[in-house]
Amino acid sequence: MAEIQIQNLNKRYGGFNALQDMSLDVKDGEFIVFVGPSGCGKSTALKILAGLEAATTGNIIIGGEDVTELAPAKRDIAMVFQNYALYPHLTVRQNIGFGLMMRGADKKEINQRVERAAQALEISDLLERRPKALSGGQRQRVALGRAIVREPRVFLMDEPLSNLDAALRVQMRAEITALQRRIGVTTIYVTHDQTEAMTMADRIVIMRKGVVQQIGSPDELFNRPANMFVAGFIGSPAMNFLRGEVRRDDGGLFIDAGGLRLPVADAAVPFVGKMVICGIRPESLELARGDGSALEITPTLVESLGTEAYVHFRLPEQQVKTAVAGEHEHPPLGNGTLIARLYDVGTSFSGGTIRLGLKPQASVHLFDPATEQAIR
Amino acid sequence: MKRKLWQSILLYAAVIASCAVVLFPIYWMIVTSLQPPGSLRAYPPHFLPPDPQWQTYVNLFIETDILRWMANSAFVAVVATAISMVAAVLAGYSLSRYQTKSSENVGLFILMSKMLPATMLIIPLFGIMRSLGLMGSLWSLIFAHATAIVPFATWMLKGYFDSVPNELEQAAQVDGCTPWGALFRVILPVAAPGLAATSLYGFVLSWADYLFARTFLANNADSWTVNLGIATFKGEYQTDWNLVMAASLMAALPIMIAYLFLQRYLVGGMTAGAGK
Repeated sequence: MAEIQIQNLNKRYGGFNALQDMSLDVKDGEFIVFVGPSGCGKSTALKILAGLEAATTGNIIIGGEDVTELAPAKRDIAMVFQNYALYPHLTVRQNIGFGLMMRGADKKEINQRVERAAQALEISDLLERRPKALSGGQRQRVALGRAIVREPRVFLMDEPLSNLDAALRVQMRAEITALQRRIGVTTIYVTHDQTEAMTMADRIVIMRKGVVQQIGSPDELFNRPANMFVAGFIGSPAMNFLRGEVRRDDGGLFIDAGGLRLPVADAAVPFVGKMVICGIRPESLELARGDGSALEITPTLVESLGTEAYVHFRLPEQQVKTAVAGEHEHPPLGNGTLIARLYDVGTSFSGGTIRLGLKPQASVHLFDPATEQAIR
Repeated sequence: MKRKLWQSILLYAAVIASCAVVLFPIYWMIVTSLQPPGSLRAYPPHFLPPDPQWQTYVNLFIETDILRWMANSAFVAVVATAISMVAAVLAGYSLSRYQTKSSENVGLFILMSKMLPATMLIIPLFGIMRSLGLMGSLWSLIFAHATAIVPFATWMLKGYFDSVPNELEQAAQVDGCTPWGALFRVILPVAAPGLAATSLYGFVLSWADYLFARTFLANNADSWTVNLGIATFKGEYQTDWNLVMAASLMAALPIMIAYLFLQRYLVGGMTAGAGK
């Protein structure tokens, strides 16, 4: 177990900056998730940490030791790959014990430790099989077994769940988290799935185009996003962005966003009279009560999920075109919809206009249209 | 999906017809080798020799040097294949994994050398072998065959290495291997079917050669390979075709046996290598 310091890490491929000035301090035993769309530099950062790629500039310190120039074998790390990377010509037992064998452990010790790891992952009965005779979930466990058996200082995991089906992914997500908490090994986990990041991480590092956008706990990223990208990436369905003008009247500062009066904090004072971008989470909206300020919308689509419904609507005058980022980042869409996540509304909407208001305790996030940074 | 009866009949008919076309020359070699010399042009032909002449095979082994020729062929084929495989594994692996600006050009340059006809290479190779004092030596043939095997083997293996995920050697390196260790402990065992297919290709190419052997070894009867030896059975006025066929059958036997045992790897190796 060890703490990790990443200091001003840069990686350039020709003229392309895959990673720009990344710095991060990881505490001993912490579970860190690098998240972002394809090409954001998260896997590159992980490979540099593993020693599989060389950094252009910058340093990596693991447990107080500068490992920047060390070969992967000498960093005392273990890695789980997206496609598991199990050795197809070896049995499960040999796969798990391979790292120990390479480090010169004796046969008896290898067997004991392999069996202990297999027991912990409930794959003891698979030890004599070859990888091709295993299901996706079983292969995933073997890959984890290969990582934990060496008791390394650091676990690195590169999208280890992305090849599993949805149900198994949820199960393995919980198992990996529980395993990491139990063993307490410092872990860096890469994913493009914000749900995985939110549910597994102690802290999340959210990246875009090689640049770290924000580092924080899942709650911090959800409740205090640093910019529009983070706000839009974290949370499902994604945050709605509306244009609105900051105004002041007897009641104080507010924003008029298409008829909806949104209360704002004093940080917006410099923007009085100017347009800002308001971020409203779908779950912050509700059917308006009474005749207070509200958005009058006509649903374009209602998706009912039983206890809740996603109501899609458009406000061409107010809505802001934003990049959609999941596994891949797509350019801003002109015909994107806004979404309200409504509870206990039943499934029937007449097709006419409905009024949406802001929940009493819901917060509105403000962003500077010029920089897309949060106004705080 | 279950086949209909007529589809099965059609399929089996096609398979039998293909086998007949492929196997008939071998069958005819066997038949000819067991007939007296004069019966070759008998009409109607004997599809089963009425009086099999097993003595032809006895004569072949007693009166000719076929065992020595086969040993020479085997030595040349094994050593040329081994040398070529070492070079081709390293070249193919480098071309597959270490991409530089010139990788593609180097790869095409290697492939281009395969496109040159063997007859074009004969004259410069003749000069080289004479300068090295290797004329009449089996080593001349080994080096000449290696020049022919390496380019194609490199490309075959590059294709195969391309289909082996990078993550395998990365995992091996994280597990404690050096890059060489990852190659030998993980990549080569995983690529075993490809190695088998490529080796077999090299072995067959060397074993079947006549042109290089005729050029470099003709003046030294002790170094003759089996193909060169068989060619001497052809007389100016008369040829014992039963002896030629018996010897040819013996020469083809090692290759047929090798294919029989390696066909599983060969098919797997070819398809896996071509997959990506």
